[in-house]
Amino acid sequence: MQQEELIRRAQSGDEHAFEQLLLAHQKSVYNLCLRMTGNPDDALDVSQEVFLRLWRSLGQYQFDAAFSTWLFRLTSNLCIDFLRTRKRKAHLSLTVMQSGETEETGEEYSVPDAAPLPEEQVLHAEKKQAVERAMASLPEDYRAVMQLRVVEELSYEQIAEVLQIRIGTVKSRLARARMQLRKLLLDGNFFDAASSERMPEEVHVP
Amino acid sequence: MNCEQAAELMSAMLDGELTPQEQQALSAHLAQCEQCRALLEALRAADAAFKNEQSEPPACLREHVMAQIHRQSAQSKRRSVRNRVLGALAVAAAAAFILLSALDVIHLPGMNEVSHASVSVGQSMQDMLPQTAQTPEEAAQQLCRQSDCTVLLLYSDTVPQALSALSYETRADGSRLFCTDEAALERLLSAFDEAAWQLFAPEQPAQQTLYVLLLPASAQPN
Repeated sequence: MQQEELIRRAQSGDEHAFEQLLLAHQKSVYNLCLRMTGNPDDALDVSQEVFLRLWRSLGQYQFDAAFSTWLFRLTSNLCIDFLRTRKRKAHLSLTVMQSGETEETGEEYSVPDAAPLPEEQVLHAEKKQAVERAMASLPEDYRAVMQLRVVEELSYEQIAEVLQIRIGTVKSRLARARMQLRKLLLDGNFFDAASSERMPEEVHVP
Repeated sequence: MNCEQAAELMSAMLDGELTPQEQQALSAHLAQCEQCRALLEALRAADAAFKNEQSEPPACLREHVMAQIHRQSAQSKRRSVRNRVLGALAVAAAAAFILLSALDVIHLPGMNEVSHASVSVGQSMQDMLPQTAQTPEEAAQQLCRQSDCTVLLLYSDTVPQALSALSYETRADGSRLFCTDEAALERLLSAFDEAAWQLFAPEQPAQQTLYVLLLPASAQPN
């Protein structure tokens, strides 16, 4: 069934049609949330909120913009709301910690036990870890434009519409995001793990 | 073009967003600068690494969303009937009554003390409702017209706990007449989460409102 037909049916309350829409778009929505929130638990929560909100507000979609752009805008807005609340909470708990008694331990990230891996997998795991670390260090703004451009292949114009920023900002943000990602990967020895040949020394980039 | 200018254009080049002039100038620089070619390759590799880093959404995403949507739809459907029932109740002066038949499927406190015939829903319907009716829906409609009362048809496998606290009188045909107020009716309607029902209401509700609760023979006592 065509997407437009699915949307129209879902708009009139057809749960099955809505489920088809969800299945078609859940990976895109979830991964954008994952990039913007930075962790799977929050990404799941926000993704659920996106689809529940979509179900309630689907009637407002007028077929004037591409559906995916419309959905990404909803997703991005909910992620931004979520990040704001999280920052406010983090700020509050920090204030409490400063004024209250001593906190037992800070938040520690538990690294899962590294079970012995076959040699060819070690290289792959190192590479994956390097990417994960680099991704975590990249600012949220940069991860969002990268996700929409590199994975979703939206045009600069569409990205500007989704994130409600100027096209010039999309362009410069993407350029900086790429340079920074490359730098992070370089520092994380990603290129070493990826291939035996060394990358050339740092070039001066703006 | 120097290396710095070239680096500035590389991102847009990967996206195919350069003007023909920019593209030409950058290509010319790349052709004679090994370092910039390597940088471009590293940027390509970074893009590929980013693109590879996609995850499958967990199955519970779909399950939770669809379950919640289903629940919300059922609730709003139920709410609209409930509002109509409660609206009719507001007009009725005093208590409303639920006429409950098919005693074999309802187990209530004190039930064992009352001997009752094991009757099927259909048989008790004939005792209770107009003889000419073919289906429960027609019977309810006729009853609604003839007695000027609101008739609620409720099909469910759930035994209504909501009735257990209510006082009742046993009628000659073995059916029970329950005395209920607004709060009790609210509880009763909430007890039937997945029930299918139909409401037949007269244009002008009478002072006393009668509800007929029908249970399918498949319902089991607690």
